[in-house]
Amino acid sequence: MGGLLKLADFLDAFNERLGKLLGVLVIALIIVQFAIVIMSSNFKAGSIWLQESLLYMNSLLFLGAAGFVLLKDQHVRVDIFYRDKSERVKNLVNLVGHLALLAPFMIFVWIIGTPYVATSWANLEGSFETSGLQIIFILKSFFLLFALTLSFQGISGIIRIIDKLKGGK
Amino acid sequence: MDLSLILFIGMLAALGLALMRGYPVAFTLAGVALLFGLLGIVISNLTGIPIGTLDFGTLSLFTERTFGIMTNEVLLAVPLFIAMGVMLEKSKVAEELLETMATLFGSLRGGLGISITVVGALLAASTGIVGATVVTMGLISLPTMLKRGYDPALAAGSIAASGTLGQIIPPSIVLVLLGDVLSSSYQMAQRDMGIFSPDTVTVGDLFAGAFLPGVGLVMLYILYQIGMAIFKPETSPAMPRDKDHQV
Repeated sequence: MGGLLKLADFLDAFNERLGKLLGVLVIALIIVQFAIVIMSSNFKAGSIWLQESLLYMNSLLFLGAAGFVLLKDQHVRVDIFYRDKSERVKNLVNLVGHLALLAPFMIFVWIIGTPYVATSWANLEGSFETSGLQIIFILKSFFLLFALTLSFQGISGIIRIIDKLKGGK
Repeated sequence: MDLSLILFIGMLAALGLALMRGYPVAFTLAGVALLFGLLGIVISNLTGIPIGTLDFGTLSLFTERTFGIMTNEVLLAVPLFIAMGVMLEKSKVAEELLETMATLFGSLRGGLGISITVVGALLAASTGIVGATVVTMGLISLPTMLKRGYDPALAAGSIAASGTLGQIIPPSIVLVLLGDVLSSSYQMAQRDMGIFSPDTVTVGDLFAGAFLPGVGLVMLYILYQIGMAIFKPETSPAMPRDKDHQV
């Protein structure tokens, strides 16, 4: 179990770092959006790639931080009954959920996401706009980043819950 | 009974059960839908009976749908609104606003309840996500209200009702999310009716539509609180005009 716990520590640390890093993107998003509004309303200037960079930041934010949110246990729950349950029952709910609901979904995302992203990389797919960011394949890769962080956090969660349940808590 | 109907009812039942257990909603929705989709495919392959229209080809459209959400410019409003709400919460502007309002109106009968509603409405009008912020803020003033002899039902009701104003008074994050779904379903409905140059519903339309009902709700809340203060004065007493009794 010790080795697995080390793995869980590593996976947690990965998502923790990534989540903190992505937090900076919110500020960047605000500044860039503000700049675009000022530019277009005051100077009649616009830039398609700046506009598209917003989408990249937003996507990276909500896809890349999915694992971090799971780590912090902040995903929305219907907690009418969950709230009052003992620690043990909560752990069981999460374990069954991770194994029966999250795991199949993650496997599904990996299976259909990998060829999707691979095709995009093979063509080095660019933007639909001629003066846009020509790196759509990077944007599409965020899809796999989402799968990666959430899988990591799911695995780490399962290890920790089994450890707690075994520990007789 | 039709096999697809049984599967459908089974999926709804499983979804309700799993949601009530308290597992995160996002993964519950994804997992249950996926499992029942696969179950349907497996059953129709085994028995040779076609069930509905779901097949692996449809399932793989999931990536395209996700990409559609990633490149949706309307949804850019979501992180921006949330950032604004967090800023209001961390900077304690909301609390200070409530304190000032309470000092101003607290000495009138029912004034504290009304100031909570007004602050809730003001915050709802300036950010999209105020539910939790307003409720926590209202909870700060709850002990004071109870100590001064407010009817617990009226005090708690004022706080809870003002906490939900953020959903309906524009700009609201729920309307942004709804706007995206509504505009595509509206266009689809028009296409089905044979209109090939469909009108659109924008988020701006939704905001305009929600404005009057939102303001109306605030007015009704305040009217009710004034009514209670006039006709049932014991439910909403005045705070003494005294520096020591500020919220």
